[in-house]
Amino acid sequence: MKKQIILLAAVLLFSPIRVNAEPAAVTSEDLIDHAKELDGQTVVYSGEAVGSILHRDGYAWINLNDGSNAIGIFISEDMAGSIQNLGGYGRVGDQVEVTGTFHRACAEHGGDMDIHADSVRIVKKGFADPEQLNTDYLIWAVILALGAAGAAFIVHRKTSMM
Amino acid sequence: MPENRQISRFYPICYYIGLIILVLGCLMIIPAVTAVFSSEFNIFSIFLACASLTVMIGLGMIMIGCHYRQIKLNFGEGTIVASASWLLGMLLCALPYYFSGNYGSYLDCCFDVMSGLTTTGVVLIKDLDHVSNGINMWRHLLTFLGGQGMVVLALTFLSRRYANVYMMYVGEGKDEKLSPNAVTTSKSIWKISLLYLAIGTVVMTVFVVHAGMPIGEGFLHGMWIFMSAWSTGGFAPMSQNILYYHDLGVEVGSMIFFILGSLNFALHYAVLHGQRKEIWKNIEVVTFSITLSVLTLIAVSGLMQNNVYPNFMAMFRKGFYLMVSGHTTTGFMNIYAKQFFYEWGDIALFALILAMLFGGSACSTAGGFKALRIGIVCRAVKAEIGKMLIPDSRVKTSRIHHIKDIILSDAMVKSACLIIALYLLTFAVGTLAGMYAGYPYMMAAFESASVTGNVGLSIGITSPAMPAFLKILYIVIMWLGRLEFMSVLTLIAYVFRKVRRA
Amino acid sequence: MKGKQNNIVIGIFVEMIFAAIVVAGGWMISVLL
Repeated sequence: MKKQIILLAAVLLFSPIRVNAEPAAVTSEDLIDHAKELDGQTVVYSGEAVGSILHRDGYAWINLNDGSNAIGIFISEDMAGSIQNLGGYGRVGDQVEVTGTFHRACAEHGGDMDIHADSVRIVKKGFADPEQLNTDYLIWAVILALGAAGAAFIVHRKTSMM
Repeated sequence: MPENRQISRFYPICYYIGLIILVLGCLMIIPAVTAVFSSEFNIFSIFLACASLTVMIGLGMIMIGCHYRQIKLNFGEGTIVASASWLLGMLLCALPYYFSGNYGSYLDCCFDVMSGLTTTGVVLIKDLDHVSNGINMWRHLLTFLGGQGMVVLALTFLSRRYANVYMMYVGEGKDEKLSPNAVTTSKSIWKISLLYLAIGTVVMTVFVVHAGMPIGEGFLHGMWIFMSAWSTGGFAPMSQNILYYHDLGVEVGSMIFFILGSLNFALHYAVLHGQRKEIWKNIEVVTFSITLSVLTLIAVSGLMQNNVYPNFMAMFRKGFYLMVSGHTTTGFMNIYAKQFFYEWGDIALFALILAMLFGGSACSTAGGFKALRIGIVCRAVKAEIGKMLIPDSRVKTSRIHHIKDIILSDAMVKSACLIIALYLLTFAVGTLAGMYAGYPYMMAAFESASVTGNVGLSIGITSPAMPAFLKILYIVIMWLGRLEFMSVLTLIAYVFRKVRRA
Repeated sequence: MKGKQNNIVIGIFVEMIFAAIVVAGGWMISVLL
């Protein structure tokens, strides 16, 4: 009997989805796969801020990508101020951790799956990661471009003589 | 001597395919320029190299065939030009993707190219949120190009005396003659599309900037979303597709343009040249309105039964939006793919699958059975029932209105039924394959309907982890659906015959 | 020429209105049900 209680406690302690008490740390896959169970719960989600901060009259949207999906987070204007770097080509955005209420189909936002953030924390600052110029590609590009120009010239001569 | 004739038929085919390939190569300059302005120099090199290679291949094929270019192509040969161009075009257009590093394999690159050209919209690209502007420009450009058609694009560059190219035009899945000549028809199609490109880019940029994007990036997003909407493609610049913007304006704006994009080019031509009443008299408009209304009612009732959306705004922005996105075969999404499976329920999914299969108008950027065929079949059924109910021998001719009044002939009905049957067969094969790959029936059917109708909504099957045989099958299905079977089947028959001779 | 341009402009408005009607129809269905 005692062993069963300890086993049950261990299972509850280590299961990823806990419906009450502390907010559960979730991934985007968890949110999508368990949307109905997590709807309305407080969750902790973290991901890279990508794209742009979309400002909306005192509030803003950010989209955090955790490697599988990007989830939309509705935050206040002050929280938006703390996010300096956004991910894109040649840039890694801030790794942001949000704690807030998850909505499967937000009534306020036209049914969007979102998290209304209560708090926002920058886990790791983003940085520029510019592409290294690939000289091989550039050389091939120039060679092929010259080839194409030459071919165009030859074909133009031949077809205009026909 | 038959052998000589056979050889000489190859040359004009080679010439026209070469012409189309040349045009594709030149188009690669656009993403190259985009890359330069975005300081993406590796991407610039990639596009310049691929453009040059493609141009050289095209020029080579033109040289081989140019002595025979005045030979008139018959129906079979014209369709072969269309289908072969799409296949070779796919292989070449995939090269920039391959070198960009955004894809797991060359097969994945070909898949995304075919998805773009056929204006389907399902994607295998990795890490879309960190993709370069150059690659994003190419993605959206491919769908814009594919919507009109690469044959149509190539024809616009020919002078009017090439009157013998009508068969190529037909081989690409269009057969409406906006004007007596395939070249002028192609030019008209492009003029309409470019006019809307100008208007649509401005409108969508306004909506996107209003949603919170900065102006420079907003302009690119606005243009790309317009291109994707008008071509009923379904690509979007970010991984969340339209959900990224969290904005009603972007959703409504994109809806307006993808509804317009799903209309027949002949209808656009008529309305823009004064025949305004056509917009409500046309059989396709009437049919589409009826099927959309009925299927939406079914879907919405199904969604309500499952309490999927909390209020009417959510129902409109998700339920209705996704139904129109599916029915017009666009494929813009504002939910995550698996949400269809977890949340929508069987009734709503059934309605959406039907909507995807029914598709948009003929001679448009849309896919599916096409409203014209559905209208023809419905009218024919009505006529048959009428004949059975009225016992006397009075023969009443049925008419449909499509730009002008047309008598409903048996040949028209037969042709419509045959193509619908082929689409259904394709859908069945796609569904079966999905199930063999291990997916449940509803998912397999949904994804199959999406690729068969060149839609682009995904229920979660399409991903880089998908089995290779399914990727290849979907590529073939997208290609068949877009070109409406005939040209692909003729190509296969032609190759088969050549191999048997050898 | 002017007439042709007029036709195009009015034609575009007509098409936009058509699309807007479709969207409005969807709105009605969402609201009424």
